[in-house]
Amino acid sequence: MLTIGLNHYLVLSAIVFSLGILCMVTKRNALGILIGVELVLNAANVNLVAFSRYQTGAADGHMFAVFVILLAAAEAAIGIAIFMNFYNTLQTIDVDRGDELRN
Amino acid sequence: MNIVALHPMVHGLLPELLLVGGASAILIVGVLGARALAFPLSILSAAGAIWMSTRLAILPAEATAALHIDSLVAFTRLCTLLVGVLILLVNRHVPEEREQPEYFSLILFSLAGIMLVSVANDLVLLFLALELVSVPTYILIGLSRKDVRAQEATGKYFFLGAFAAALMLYGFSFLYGAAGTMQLFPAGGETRSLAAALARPEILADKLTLVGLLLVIGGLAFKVAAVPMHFYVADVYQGAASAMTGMLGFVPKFAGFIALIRVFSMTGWVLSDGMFWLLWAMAALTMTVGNTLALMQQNVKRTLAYSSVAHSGYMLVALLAGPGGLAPNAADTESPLRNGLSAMLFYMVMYGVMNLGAFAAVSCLRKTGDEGDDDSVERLEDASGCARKHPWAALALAICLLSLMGMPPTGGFLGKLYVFSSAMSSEAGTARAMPMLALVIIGVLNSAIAAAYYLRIIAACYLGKPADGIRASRCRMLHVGLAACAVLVMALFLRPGVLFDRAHSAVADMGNKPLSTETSATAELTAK
Repeated sequence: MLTIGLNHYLVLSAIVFSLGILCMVTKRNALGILIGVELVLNAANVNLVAFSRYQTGAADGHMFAVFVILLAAAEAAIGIAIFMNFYNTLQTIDVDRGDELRN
Repeated sequence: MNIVALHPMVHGLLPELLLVGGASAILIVGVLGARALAFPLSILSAAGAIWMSTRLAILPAEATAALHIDSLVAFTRLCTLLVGVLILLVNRHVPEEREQPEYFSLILFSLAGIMLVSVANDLVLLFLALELVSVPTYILIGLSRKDVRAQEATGKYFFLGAFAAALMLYGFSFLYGAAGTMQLFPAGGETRSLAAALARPEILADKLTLVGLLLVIGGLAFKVAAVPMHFYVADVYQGAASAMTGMLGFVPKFAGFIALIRVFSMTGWVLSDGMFWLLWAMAALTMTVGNTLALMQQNVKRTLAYSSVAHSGYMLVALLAGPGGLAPNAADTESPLRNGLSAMLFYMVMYGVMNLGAFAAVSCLRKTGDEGDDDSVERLEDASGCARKHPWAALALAICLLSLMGMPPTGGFLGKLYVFSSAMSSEAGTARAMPMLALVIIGVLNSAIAAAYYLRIIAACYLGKPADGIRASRCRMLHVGLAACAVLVMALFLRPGVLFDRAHSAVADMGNKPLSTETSATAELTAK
């Protein structure tokens, strides 16, 4: 019978990580990219909690994950504020429309 | 100081607490309506933190497990705060009256982040400290700016920064998995640590550890703007206010390099061949790509942005040279000129000052004379002939640019000298002497390329036909900050020891560290 072990979680987190990167690279909508960032952060969280459960048995991985969740919330708040501003000036949150900066 | 009653964790963090407390007080004062107090209060908090950090006795390492208080911390605190005061002065005119409290308190939070990076002895604290450095800078670029280009720069910097932080975190999770502990260095009776785990060859050779290390180095490469994570620099620097750009050249870079020192200290400065060549290629590419791109720019801010990439390359050369004294044939391990890390720290602080000075000068020269920062000179034509009308600003700009170029009599010359001499001598007599020599030659050639674009700016200022309508900013604090940067650049050439001796004592024991932990580990084993 198949028991769920550390490797399953690592594979899961690798898949979530790849999806997050893919999301960031392909999405042009600012919120889509923000979701990609959250996916990568959560991939790391899965890793942290899995290592904590299977490698150390201590709660420090869980603690780190809680801090990461807090940080992700703060980052999302700032990101959304930044793109409210962006929208006010450009009437869009398509990141490709910001193309004023060049040589 | 007689604050014995405080918990060691609180005691060890007094300068940071003072700075963060000051920053929070400024926010509250701003809400209460006394916005004019924001700037004096921010200077006062920074000065208080400087006083506190010089008075604070260095705690014995075993006092607490989460903090790693050594001589590098004292150096980082002092330099961060001193350059921080210059940053505050130079940025005085940037925010609108309404947004001053937020602006100055965010600068203080970011400075506190650098200090926490050096103190952190725990992956959680290290990660949060690095984010505390970056997150305020995302906001600072866009704050008080109407320019649509500032919005674009903020957006780009935010996403790429968040992406790099996420990569780094993913790397941290693997390091945690490999070591089974969050602690970086052994302290406080806790013997398990990442440093001890990475000293074991089977763990260091493990694929997951390697992936973790590479991701962490990649994330930190973003902070220091090294190839391949350098592409954002020009856009962000161009979009940000010139005075803020001066801060961006110092704050994330300094934090990134301190974190890199900690990461390589964990591996005991023993680089595998793969890691050595990876860093070698990174340093060579960072210098070359940065300078080549800078040469192609017509915009002064973009030129300085890519030159900041190139300077990261020189610092990476010194990082690769390492703490010295590890090579078997290195005869004089005590010589400061063999220590790449002290050269790197000297160069970093030197770069922070001269880069801030250059951007302060750019910020001081403006096209219409408004006090907002949206109209500082950008293209070479804008600054053309400014030396006739504004001789002092042009002189300060010229001094800082000559220093960036590495010409005597400026501190930048000594910085390059230390970096290249440490790179030449640290691996002398080993198989890696030749690659290091090649790296130094690449570096020297790059300095020559760099001279072309720095001289182009100086020539435009002094020889160009005077452009009409160029004015100087009336902000007195900006003038004081600019003058201080230019004087410091010259003074550090005459008295480099003031900075260099401190940098050297900050990292002098770093090369011996892995040996001492190893012996203590063996002693423990035999005791059992």
